[in-house]
This record gives sequence, C-alpha cells and structure tokens, in this order.
Amino acid sequence: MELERHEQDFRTLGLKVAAVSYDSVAVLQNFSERKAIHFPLLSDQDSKIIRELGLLNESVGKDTPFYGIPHPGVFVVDAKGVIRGKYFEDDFRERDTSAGILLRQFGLIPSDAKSEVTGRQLSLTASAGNATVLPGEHVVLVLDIDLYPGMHVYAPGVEGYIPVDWKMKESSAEAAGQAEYPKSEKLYLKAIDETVPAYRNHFRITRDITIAQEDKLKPAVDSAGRLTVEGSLRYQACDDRVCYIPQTLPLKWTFQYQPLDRERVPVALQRKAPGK
Amino acid sequence: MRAVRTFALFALFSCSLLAAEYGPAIGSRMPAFDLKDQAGKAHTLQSLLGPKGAVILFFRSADW
Repeated sequence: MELERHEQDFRTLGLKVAAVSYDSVAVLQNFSERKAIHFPLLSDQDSKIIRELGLLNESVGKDTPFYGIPHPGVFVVDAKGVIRGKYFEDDFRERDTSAGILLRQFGLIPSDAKSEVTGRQLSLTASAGNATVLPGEHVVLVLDIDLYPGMHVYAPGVEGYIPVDWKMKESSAEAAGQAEYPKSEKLYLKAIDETVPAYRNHFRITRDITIAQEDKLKPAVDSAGRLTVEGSLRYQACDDRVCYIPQTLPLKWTFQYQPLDRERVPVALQRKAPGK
Repeated sequence: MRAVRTFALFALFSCSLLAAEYGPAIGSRMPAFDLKDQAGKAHTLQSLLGPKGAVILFFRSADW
C-alpha cells in the first residue's frame, strides 16, 4: 500500500494514519501480513461508517460481493477531529497518492525524485510527489524556480511581455492537468514606468497528472520499468535595465512503474455476494 | 436574529451542496466510530488522533 511508504512522514508531522474498508478482519489480517502494513487497517464490514459519511458507492449492484465499497478517498483531520482536508475522486480507478496529499496539505516533498536544470537567469528543480507510479494514480509535479538576484520573470496574464509558461509534452501514458501558478507580485519597473505581474526570488508551480490505465501506460514504460514524462518551461527574464532573450528549458520526470497488485486473499476469506 | 441565523445555516448548507463532493464538508467534525483493525484491536476516532490529528483513508477493498 502506497500509504505505508509515507506513514513515517505523516507521523513526523504529528499525524497518525489509518485506513478503512468494508473487508473483514480476516481479510485485512491476511493483507497486512502479505504487505507488511504497520498502521491500523479498520474493518467496517457492514459499511456503517462508510454510509454515515456518505461515501457508499451506490453505483455498485446490491447483489454483488462489491456492494458496500466506499468512494475511495482521504480525510485529513486535526487533533480535535475536525476535517481539514479531503481528497476524493469520482472514478474508483483514479486516486490521489498520499505523497500528493503530503505535498498539497503540508508542502512537503517526500520523494527524492528530483532533477535540477540551470538556465541563464534562473535555476530550477523539477520534482514529484512520488517516485513510483501506479496505473490511474494522480501525481503532483512540482517546479521550484529560483531566479538569480535582480531578475524577474512575468506571471501569466501579463500584457506585452512573455509570461512563464509550463507545457507538457503530449503522452498516451498520462493526462496533464492545468499548471497552478502562485499569486504574483505587482512589480513597479522604473525604467519603463509600468507595473507588471511578476515573480522574483523563489516561486513554485505545481500540476497534477493522471497516470493512464495499464493498457496505455505499458507501451510507454522502458525495459528498466521506468516511465518518463517530459515538458518545457518558457520564460523571459529581465532585470531593471534589460530583458534577455526568451528561453525554453527542457523538463523531465522519471518514475518507477509499479503494476497493479492482483494477488488476492485465500478463497475461503473472499467476500461473497449478500445471501450467498 | 433568528432569520439571520437561519439564513447563515442555509448558506452553509448550500455551499456544501455546491461543492458536490463525497463526505462531510471541510471544517465539519468527523463522526465518531469504533472499528476493529487487522489484529482485532478496537480503534475509535479519539484513539487515532495524533498531536496534529490523523490521515484517514477509505479504500475500496484489500482484496480485489
């Protein structure tokens, strides 16, 4: 389970981790032994809390063994039990990763999957919430940009200048969401007597990508089991006197591909359809 | 005063509807529960809260 890898990160933040499903205690015991899970897997066999929270997946047939499953997702609650964050998806095959939650809710980058690019007026670090990817998973890509002293780049929405523009290369292995740019500052430029939306020093841009399902993903995985996604960052940097030639920096993120786990518990423990 | 309060409640309620998401709205209290873990040990919401709270995942199943 992906959460297991980041349990320690959450614990360091003072958060305990637990996971709830409609499985019996016996199924959860078998699973946690096979997967070496060290946090509580809670059995809500009658889907009582799942219903109470409004998470019951009503699209599942009542006479199937799958009836009772929740819409999968995550709640982040504070020390008083108040919900502070929610991460849910419509499609049960797509999910937010716990690494993505660490990043979005707490600004932490848990994985070491980073690459650095040095440009003429700035340097940047491309990183991601996860080092490994599963089919259907949501991954947060991050660009941390450090402008050299005295430099600024233009923010999206600027008129008459070239704004920072992060593009992703088309790929069948993932669908890229919109880049999320931070709030810019209104910078007054004496030389041209204009106020423009710009970034200076450090700023971070993030974007979600959704990893494709297995059939589309597999052809893009190399022989070492790696998936690489690519993009580019275009910008024009200026200081208080001149604007430099627009630049386009190549960006790259490499992940380890992890096939979906299809191993099941012994037949005797498997859930039966109601009344069977 | 009562009218104001009713309106505030209504506004709150319609906001959560507009969000059209699963589960209670952000800012509301997680309902209490009492569930057994893989070792048969009981956990409540209270017992699961660390000094900063908890991350509670709902997943479809450990077996398919």
